[in-house]
Parts: sequence; C-alpha cells; structure tokens
Amino acid sequence: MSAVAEAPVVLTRSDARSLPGETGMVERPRRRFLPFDPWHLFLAPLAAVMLLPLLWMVVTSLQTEAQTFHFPPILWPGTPRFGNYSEVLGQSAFGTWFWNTTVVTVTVVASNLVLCTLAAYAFARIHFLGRTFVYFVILATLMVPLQVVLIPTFLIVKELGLLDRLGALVVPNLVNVFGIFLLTQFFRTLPIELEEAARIDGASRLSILLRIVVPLSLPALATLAVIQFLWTWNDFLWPLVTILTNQDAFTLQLGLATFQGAHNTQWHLVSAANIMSMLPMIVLFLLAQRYFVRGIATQGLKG
Amino acid sequence: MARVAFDHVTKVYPGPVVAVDDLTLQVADGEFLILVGPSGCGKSTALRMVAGLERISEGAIAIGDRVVNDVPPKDRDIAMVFQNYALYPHMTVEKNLGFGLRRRRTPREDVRVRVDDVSRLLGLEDLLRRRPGQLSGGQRQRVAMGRALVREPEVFLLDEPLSNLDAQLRVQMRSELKRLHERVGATTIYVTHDQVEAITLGERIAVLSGGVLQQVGPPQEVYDDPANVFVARFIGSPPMNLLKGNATDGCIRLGGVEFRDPQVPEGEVLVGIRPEGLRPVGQEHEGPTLEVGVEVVEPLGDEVLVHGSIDAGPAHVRIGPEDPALLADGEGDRATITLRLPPEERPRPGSRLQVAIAPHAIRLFDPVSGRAIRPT
Repeated sequence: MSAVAEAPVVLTRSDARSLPGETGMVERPRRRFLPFDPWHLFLAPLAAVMLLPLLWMVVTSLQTEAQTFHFPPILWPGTPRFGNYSEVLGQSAFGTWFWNTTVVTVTVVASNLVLCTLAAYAFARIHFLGRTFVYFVILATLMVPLQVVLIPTFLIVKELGLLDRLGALVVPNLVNVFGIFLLTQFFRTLPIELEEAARIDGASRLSILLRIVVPLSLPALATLAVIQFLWTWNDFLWPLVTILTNQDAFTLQLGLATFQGAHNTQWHLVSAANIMSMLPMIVLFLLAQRYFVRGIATQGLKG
Repeated sequence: MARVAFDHVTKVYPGPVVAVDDLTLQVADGEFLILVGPSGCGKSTALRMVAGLERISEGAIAIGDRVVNDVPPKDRDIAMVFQNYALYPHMTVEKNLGFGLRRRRTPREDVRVRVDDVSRLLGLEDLLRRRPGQLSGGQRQRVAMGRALVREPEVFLLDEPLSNLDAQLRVQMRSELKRLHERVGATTIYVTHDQVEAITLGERIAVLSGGVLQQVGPPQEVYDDPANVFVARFIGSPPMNLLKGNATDGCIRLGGVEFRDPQVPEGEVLVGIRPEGLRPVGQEHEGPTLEVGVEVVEPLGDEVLVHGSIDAGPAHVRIGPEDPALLADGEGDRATITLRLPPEERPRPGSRLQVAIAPHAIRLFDPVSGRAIRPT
C-alpha cells in the first residue's frame, strides 16, 4: 500500500555551486572498467526487490479473480483486464472516499506547513524565556506512542462533537511535532547573516520569514509536505476509530478495507483500488523530488 | 552624512565575557575609520552594536546627534556589508539590490533608477538577472557593496569585506573601495584583522585588543609612534623589534652598545626598532653598531628580510591577552631581530652583519606596563 513511503527522503544541501564552466574547473573523466558506476551492481538488485511487490500488485489488478488464486502465480495475465478498475469505481463509493481523503490530506498538509513554520521559526530564531524547555517538552511528546494517546484524543474529539465527521481526522493533526522539529533544525542551519542583512534592509520579522527563510527552506518544506501527505493519506487506524458509521465520511483506507471480507477477499479489486489510491502520492513525490536535491541556501554566501 | 560616537561603550556576553570594554571613540562625518585587531578583540562586536545587531550593555552609541541604543537596525540609516556578503541566494542581483528600498516602500520607478545607477557605478549591469550562486567571489563582493550603496545611508559598516577574496583580487578591491569612498563620501567604519588593509585604507585606524582600544590615529602616526608594545608588534609586517635595554644616567645600554637619551628613566627599558630602522654599515662606520648573526634570509623582490639574533636580552613581555605569537621572543641571552634591507644587500645565512640604528628610529617602552615612554 505504501511502497512510496519506503523510498528514502534525502535532504541534500550541497548546492549547484560547482556547475561546470562556473568555477572553470573541468572534471577529469575517471578510467572505468564498467560502462556504469559499480554501485549499480548493488543498487539495481535492491531496487528490483523494492519494486517487486508493486509490480505484483499491478499485475494482480489486471487479472481475473480466478487468476489471482492460481498456483504457481501467473506473472503476466494473457489479456489485461482493465475492467477491474471500472468495477471498483462503479461498485463502490470510491469517488467519495477519494474526495474525503483529498480534503483531509490537503487541509492537514497545508496547516502543518503554516503552523510548523511559525512555531519552528520561533524556536530557531526568537529568544524567549523558557524556549529550550518548551522545545524539549514538545519534542518529548514524540516519544509517547500513539496507543497511549488514542483514547484521550478520541474523547477530546468526541467532546468537540467531531465524531463521524472529517473534522475528526483534521483537527488532531493540524500540527505535527515532527514537522516543528524538522523545520527548527533546518532553519538553524540557515546563515543568520541573511536575516541580519534583511533586518538592516528594513524587513520585519514576518517579512524575513516569508521572503528570506521560507524561500530558502523549500527543500525542508517539500520534505515535510511529502511526509505529512503520506502519513495522512495512508492513515488507517485513526479514521477507523473515529469514523464509526457515516459511510459518507469514509476515507480511502477505510474504503479499501471494505473489499476485504472476513471469508473472502477480491484481490484483483483490492489491487486495482490500491493502485488508484497510490497515484496521487507518486505524482506528488515526483513533483517534490527536485526540491529535495535543490539546496540553494548557501549560494549567496562565500563560495 | 553623520558622525558616529561611541561613549564608554561596553558589551558583556553571558559568561561573563567582556567583548568590548569601555570604548570611547569618535568617527567624524565622512571619515573612513578602520577598526583593526586580532580575531576576538571585539572589533566586530563594536561594529554590530552600531548596526543594532547586538545590544549595548553599557554606554551609548550616537549616530549623528541621536543616541541609537534602542533604535532598531532599520531605523538607524546604516548599511552593512558582511564578511560572507549575505546575499539573498534565491533572488537575482537586481532583487538583492532593490530589496532594502522595496521594504521601505520606495516607488517602483525610483527603485529601478537607483538600482541602475549603482549597478553602473559598480559595473554590475550585465549581472542583474543572475543569482548570487552564479557569480564569482569578486562579483558577489561588488553586489554586497551595491546593496549597501543603493540605500544611500548615513553610515557604512563593513565587516571584513575583503577577507574572502584571493590575494590579487583583494588588492584590486582595496583600491576600488578607496575610490568609492572618495566618490560617495559617506562615514565608513571598516573592520579588519589585516593590518596591511588597515594602513592602506584608513584615514584613521583604531587598534583594539581584548576589547580595549589601544590607539587611534592616522596610519602613519600609529606605525611610527605606537602607544604600546601591542600596537608596535601588531601594526607593521614584520613587526617592530623589541629588545631589552638598561638605562643609567640618561644612557641606554643595548647589547654592548650605548646611546644617549636624556629623557629615559632609570632601570630596564624595552627598545623598539622597526626593521627598516636598522642598516648594515662597513667597518669604517663611526658610532655604535650592533652585531647581527644572520640566520634566515627572505628575498621578497623589492626588499630582503633578514632574520637573525643579537647579543642582547630578549624582551619578555605579555602583550595582548591571548596572542602568544605577539610575544617578543628569543632564546637565552640572545634576542631575535629582523631587518628590512634593499634587494642588492643580501647577506648570506651564517654571516655576521654590523648594523647601525637610524637616528629617530628608536622607540622606548616601559617593560612592566608595555606603554610607550614618550619625550615630555
């Protein structure tokens, strides 16, 4: 379900400083015994292992129900059955689930980006009494397992009258402590001189945050957005607990579970639905990927 | 334009560490003043207090007639160039230059005109669309200068602006800076640890050590007449020779040589002689000479530096709080000495050289306090 989540999220801060022609340095081509980097011998099989489940899911989604139970497994169906996809869309409320999940995820990601940025900037740059203490108290909550807070949070959500509504999925997740931590650490690596220069240039705190810090933190913000997106999109337990009966508030993960009966699972339909639910994550990951590798934060400083 | 006045300014960091200790200093309107000293001497802290980036623990700083202790940086009418330039990496050169003006709600058209003017002045016209990452070190340096100039501030603050450039570019930018100052004429405070930069650029230089102001004056005056042994050793390269002498009855004995100085107090004194104050003489020379055992000869093209030792007590004196390199040195009863000679006079290592001390080249210092003993 979450093959994308296993892919490493790399925060690269080494910048594009050393483009050829800029420094005037020419890299001497190294002598190679292989037409490719030797690392590929190690990485290619690893990639194959990672991709295999995904591939199997794609294959399964194109099979008939009978083929899915065939042994030995059929690795390529004779005629791909795209009908499985239309069957999922026609027989279930897939559209509603997809919409619900999108609303919840987009809201949670957006609020996390805004609120974590504000909190992280304060922790990174503004001196106030008890800053370190408060920061560590907040970080300490990362160590509390979900099972411990599940019931208290459920009760709070219930008191707020949000049970069985999408709000139950949004409100407890508006701010994620991990996001505060990630951004605080990133903001601290930004050269303080940039902010001092902006202060002298007449920028206010908010202006510094919006015009200097945020544009330079796009790699970190993109990372946070992707991680938060994956967590929210794939979350199953919390929706299962809070969305009790209201079928109109089902998310994708709850909906996908309905394909799995107690005695009988329609694997071809489960696979087709899974693939459709994964598409947004894959698209997002491909879009945000270039920010991971684009670290521009130090370019204005000494080369 | 405006003057800048430090009035008994002290900066204490938690610890407590006193970074700047009771600094009183006037920078005249339109003056180019250099704050110079070894790293950690408080010069950058002093500059940052003028900028408003550090709070002032005690005392007051005035820009023009206004005490600015509690004025935020943006309202001080200053511009600062940082050592690492601090250009905004995500903005083009044009946006970098215009950022300060736009924050002050300058009309778009005015911003364009002023950015154009400054980029023409600094030769940045062709770079306006580039980002800092696409510029060379010298170009970045110029953009950083441009960003300060475009605001037309009362006071320029420069924090080691040339230290990230390679040696050749540094010399070139040094003269460019000087020309720029003559043209713009704004009050400028320039921080550097490089005494060559200080001497060549400044109208006046202020030497700091351990947060304490040691001496202020025109570069030549500071070079010729250092106020104490720290300044004597810090300004000038190679530094001033310091030798231990003994004074009795208005007569100083130094390594078997005697010379008269009616002003000198009785007892031990430190004798300071610049390397160019010593010149080799033949046997026929009349008057006192020192015998130098030549150890190392460094030809520099236009001059030759000769390091050797003489038969006089080395001057052991603590100068500066934690810079042992500046301690005058020597071994046993021989003191090391450096001579600056014209290139045609190149002694062989191991040879012995008779040198005479040029008249007026001698400076005397108190061996305990390190202060200069000046004729009254």
